[in-house]
Amino acid sequence: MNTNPVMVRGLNFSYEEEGGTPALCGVDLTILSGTVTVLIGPSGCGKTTLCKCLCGIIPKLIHGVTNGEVFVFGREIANDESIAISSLSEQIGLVMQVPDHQIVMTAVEDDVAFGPENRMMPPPEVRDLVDHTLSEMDLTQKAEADPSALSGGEKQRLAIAGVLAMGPEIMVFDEPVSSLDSAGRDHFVQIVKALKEAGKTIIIVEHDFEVFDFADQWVLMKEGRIVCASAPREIPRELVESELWH
Amino acid sequence: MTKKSRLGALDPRPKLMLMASASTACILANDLIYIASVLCMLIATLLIGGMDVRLVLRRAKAIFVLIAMLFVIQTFFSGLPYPGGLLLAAMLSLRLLVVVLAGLILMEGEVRDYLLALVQMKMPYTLAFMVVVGLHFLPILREEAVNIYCCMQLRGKDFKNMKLTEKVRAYTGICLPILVGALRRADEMSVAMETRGFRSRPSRTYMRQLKMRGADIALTILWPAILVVLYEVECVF
Repeated sequence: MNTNPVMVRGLNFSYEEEGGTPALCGVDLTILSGTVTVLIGPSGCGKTTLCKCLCGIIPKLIHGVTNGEVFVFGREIANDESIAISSLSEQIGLVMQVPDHQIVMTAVEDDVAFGPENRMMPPPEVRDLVDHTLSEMDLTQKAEADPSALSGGEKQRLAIAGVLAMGPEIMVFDEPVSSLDSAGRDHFVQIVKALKEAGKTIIIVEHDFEVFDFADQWVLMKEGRIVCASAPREIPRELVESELWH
Repeated sequence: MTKKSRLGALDPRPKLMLMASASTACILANDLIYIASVLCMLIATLLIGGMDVRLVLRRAKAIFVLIAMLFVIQTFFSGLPYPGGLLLAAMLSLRLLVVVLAGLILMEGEVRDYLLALVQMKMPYTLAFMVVVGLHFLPILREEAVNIYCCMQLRGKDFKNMKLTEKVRAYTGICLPILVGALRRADEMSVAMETRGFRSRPSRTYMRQLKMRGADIALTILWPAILVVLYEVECVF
């Protein structure tokens, strides 16, 4: 039985019902457990769409025309309507491009507690989990702060903490460093390395691929297709540059 | 972290009770002295509760001006002979003052506590959550409006020297992007909530619980009790 965290087979997706430009064309991808995978490609190449398919947001919340299969820990999620997004959130978590869109509560610790509370975790356990997660994300001092008063980097760490508290095995980051300064980027890289060490499977969508040269796999995408998927040292930089900018 | 006032340190439930009871009593009552007494009690509560008077005046400045204007209009245009119009105007203005000041009490407290308070008062979580998220988004929408206003000015729109029709058109240009942005934000937020298990179970737990202390219980009982006693006294005399 296939137990890889993520396996995609022949995935096609179009946002429009008929005759629309396909956002994904025949995507095949396997992601191994405990690895860091970076999806690289120019804007509009389908990276974010692929992430949304992996999390079940497509086709469950965003509708369109979908063909193909998406397996998360061996469970096919693209065609099984009985699988709820909320049940997937225990296996795969998405940190969105804009943290503001992901922060739903009016205090930092409440936002981290939002997911576990929804899953009916007993309050003392929620408290322990929130304290632990805030400490991991270096946000303990801001526990009672209003999220709107946080800096960009802090907001992003809060968005990560909110997803981390759900305890997913796979974490997907959509352009996580695009709005951070160099110190924020370094901090984010440290977080990713720590998550990898903790055994999480990481998927990152990013233009600035050089930041993640330690990744196990780079997946180069163009016009909804995967051009190549391999270890960073096996992909010629010229190929990446030409696919990205031409 | 800023130091909380006495009112700010109270449980939100007595404050909600105070606001509801004072506003209801003044809307139902038809006696100027009774309404004035409630207003005095309310001001005393605000002062004892450590509320910053200057902040209150600043926050509700526009409403106070509006109430003063209503007082003048009602006095001269009510059509009642003297002092009927004056009394009616005074009653209406004092009523509005009570409602506004009672509402300002709620500003002494944190939004997250009001969410918990509403839930502990048996309001469905989804409903309480919507109210709180709505309040949370107001300053964000305001900030967006200011940004768009500044951007339009930077691109040559001179709001000060516009005719009324042009102004209406220009402000429509501000409202539309805010509306579209709010819809997009709501869409993204609903996805984020869904992925974090919102409404995935028939119920949910709460990390924090509000607990009523002596002062909270006293305020919850005292305010409605005083309102009833005052009403009885007014009826006797």
